[in-house]
Amino acid sequence: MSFVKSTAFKYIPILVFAVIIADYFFAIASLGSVAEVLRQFAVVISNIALGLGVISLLRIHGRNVQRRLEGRWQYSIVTIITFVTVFILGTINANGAQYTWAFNHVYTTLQQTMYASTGFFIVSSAYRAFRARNIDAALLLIAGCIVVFTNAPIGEVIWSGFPVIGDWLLGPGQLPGYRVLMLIAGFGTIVYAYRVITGNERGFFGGE
Amino acid sequence: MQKKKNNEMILKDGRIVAFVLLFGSFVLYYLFTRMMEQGKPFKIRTLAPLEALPEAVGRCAEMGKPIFYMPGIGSSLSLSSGAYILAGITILGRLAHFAAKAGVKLRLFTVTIDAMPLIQETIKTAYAVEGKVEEYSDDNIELIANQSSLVSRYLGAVQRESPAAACLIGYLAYESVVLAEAGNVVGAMQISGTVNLYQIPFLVASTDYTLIMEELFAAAAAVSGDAGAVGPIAAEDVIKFVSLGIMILGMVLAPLGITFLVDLLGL
Amino acid sequence: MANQTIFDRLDKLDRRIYYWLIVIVIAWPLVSPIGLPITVKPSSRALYDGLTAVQEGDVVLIDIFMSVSTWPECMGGLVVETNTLIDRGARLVYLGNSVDVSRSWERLNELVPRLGTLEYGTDVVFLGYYTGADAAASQMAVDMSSIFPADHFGTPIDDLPLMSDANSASDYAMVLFTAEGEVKWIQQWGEPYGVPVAGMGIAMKGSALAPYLASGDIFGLAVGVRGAAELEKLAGMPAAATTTMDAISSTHLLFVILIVPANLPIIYNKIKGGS
Repeated sequence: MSFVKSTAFKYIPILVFAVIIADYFFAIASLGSVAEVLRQFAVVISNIALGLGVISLLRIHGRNVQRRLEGRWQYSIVTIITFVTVFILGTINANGAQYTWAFNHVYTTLQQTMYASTGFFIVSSAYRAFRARNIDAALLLIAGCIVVFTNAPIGEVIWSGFPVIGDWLLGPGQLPGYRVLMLIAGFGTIVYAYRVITGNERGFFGGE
Repeated sequence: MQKKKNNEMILKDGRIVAFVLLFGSFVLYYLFTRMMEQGKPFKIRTLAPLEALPEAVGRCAEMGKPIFYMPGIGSSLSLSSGAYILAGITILGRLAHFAAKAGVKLRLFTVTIDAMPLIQETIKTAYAVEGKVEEYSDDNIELIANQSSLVSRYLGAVQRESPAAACLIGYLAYESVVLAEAGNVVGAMQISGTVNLYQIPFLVASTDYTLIMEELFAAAAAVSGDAGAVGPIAAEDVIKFVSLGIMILGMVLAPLGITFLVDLLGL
Repeated sequence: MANQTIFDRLDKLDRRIYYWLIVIVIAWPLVSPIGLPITVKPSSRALYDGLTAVQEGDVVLIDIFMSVSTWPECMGGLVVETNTLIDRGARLVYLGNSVDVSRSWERLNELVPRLGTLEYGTDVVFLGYYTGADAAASQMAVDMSSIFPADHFGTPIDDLPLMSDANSASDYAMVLFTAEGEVKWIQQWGEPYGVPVAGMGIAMKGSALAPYLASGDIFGLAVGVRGAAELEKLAGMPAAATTTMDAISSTHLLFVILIVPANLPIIYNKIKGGS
């Protein structure tokens, strides 16, 4: 296994990278076919990762229950029972009434609740952060207020200048900064690709 | 590039310059890596969030509280999140080292199933290096099913265990503001870092230290210290200067109606 | 503690107070709408103009990336897009990278009953969930059937007449993204094949999507609940997003008002000469 990890696994990323990159830059029919197959492999691997996730989840939560991990094993039981129930319902009939009910009345409701709670946390974060302690913070505060009023119709009612300034801030005002950040993110991704193909990125080998 | 009569390879239109720039970058990365291997000392500048890690652990040790870590959501195999999660796990290694040394409990929450072996290995190795492998426990690493479940689990854990410090470093989405605010409620010192552009304002506003965009990669490179990590970061500085030069040139030429640069880059 | 001034109390205001204020100011306009006017932004207008320029028979790909949690922000806009495209006689292909995409599809059908009147397989197809993100989008641009051998309901792709006309990027008139996932469509369909890309983003992503709009990588953009409300106004079909805008107004106003008590302690300390 060590030989496989150190040799074969090292050269597979290089090979895949070479084919995909070459397909992007060069118009070679045979290369295109190979690249297609590799892309389909990528999709298949993503699907396998879903199954891997299920196995890992059940294994870890099963172990929590088995060891009666304090403060957690009860929730692990709930996780396992919920998973098995929905899995069986979905396998029997993914469009069935019971499965749809579980989706609509449990999953949907909980998801929306958790996402909605974000609004409260944003306000409490802003109450703490939007304080004019110094000139930079004051500018941030003013810009923040203008953008808030730009987004809300009441802003235009209060003052017609809010949308004008706000749209400028959201457009030319912040575009240069955002473009630079996106450019840098792109450079970072290229570095990561280089590290993968040169075998310096060992992260997905389990750290070995 | 002309199509050759015997139908040999042709470069697609509009990609010649991209091809040259990409492989030029790779050559540069290789050269800088070799320079570093041969002893040239490229040094990544001091990153305040990285310097704050021992301070965070020290705070936890004083208060007798645990430190929380969340390496982001998504999959380590994904193009969009993988690199950042792996960078977060590299930084986790350093934090685990400090935590092991100080005897501080390190609690980790993750939804990244495929990175679990790496996370466990990283923390275990840090404890082993400090000679405290018996203090390592898998029970401190919690795998949670999905993003929303992570939010509720983390919120509950923060309320019950009141960590003195928390680190949110990796690929973060909407949960970043919720988790950061949860830490603020209990007065935790917080260090964050992500490449997700639209989460950075929330993190800057809610946490004490933030690694912004590429600083995450730079921090991971600084932690690992090896030539293959630091060399390319150093080479990137050259690439950034070149990009800056092209932008300035473009800014000068564009108002004059000279489209040479645009045409060149569009080749 | 005994010598706490009002400013000290404001500095450490119990968050439950403003949480309850938020609940009240959100609920009130929903119960008793105000009806403030909404001005349409150029980016939303550009998106709508792009939709109305679609020709009869054009195939449009719609990526429902939103999860159920982002319905309030994006579902309204998706409803308008669907109605507008049906009016134009476009043929629609839906898919999604979110695990609850089937739920979003059902919800869309509830809100757009006309979808059910279209001939499935000829005028509309729901391909369902896919994984692989960028790799999948890249492969779909070349051969959709390699990623979707069957649609969400298990019908083989070869049995769907629409898909025989729409198997690669060049067969599509445009791609519409919803909530997120725009980058893969821009990179894998827009740039290599010149397929027009546009869509809706969640409010958080408004700033992040602006560079793509400015550079022309996307031709239109409607952001958040406001974007959905603007689309509803343009289409002349006010619905949930329009109603929600009043709650947006009241909440944003509260937000700005709360900044005053948040800053009073700082002003007080500065006047006192302290830090």
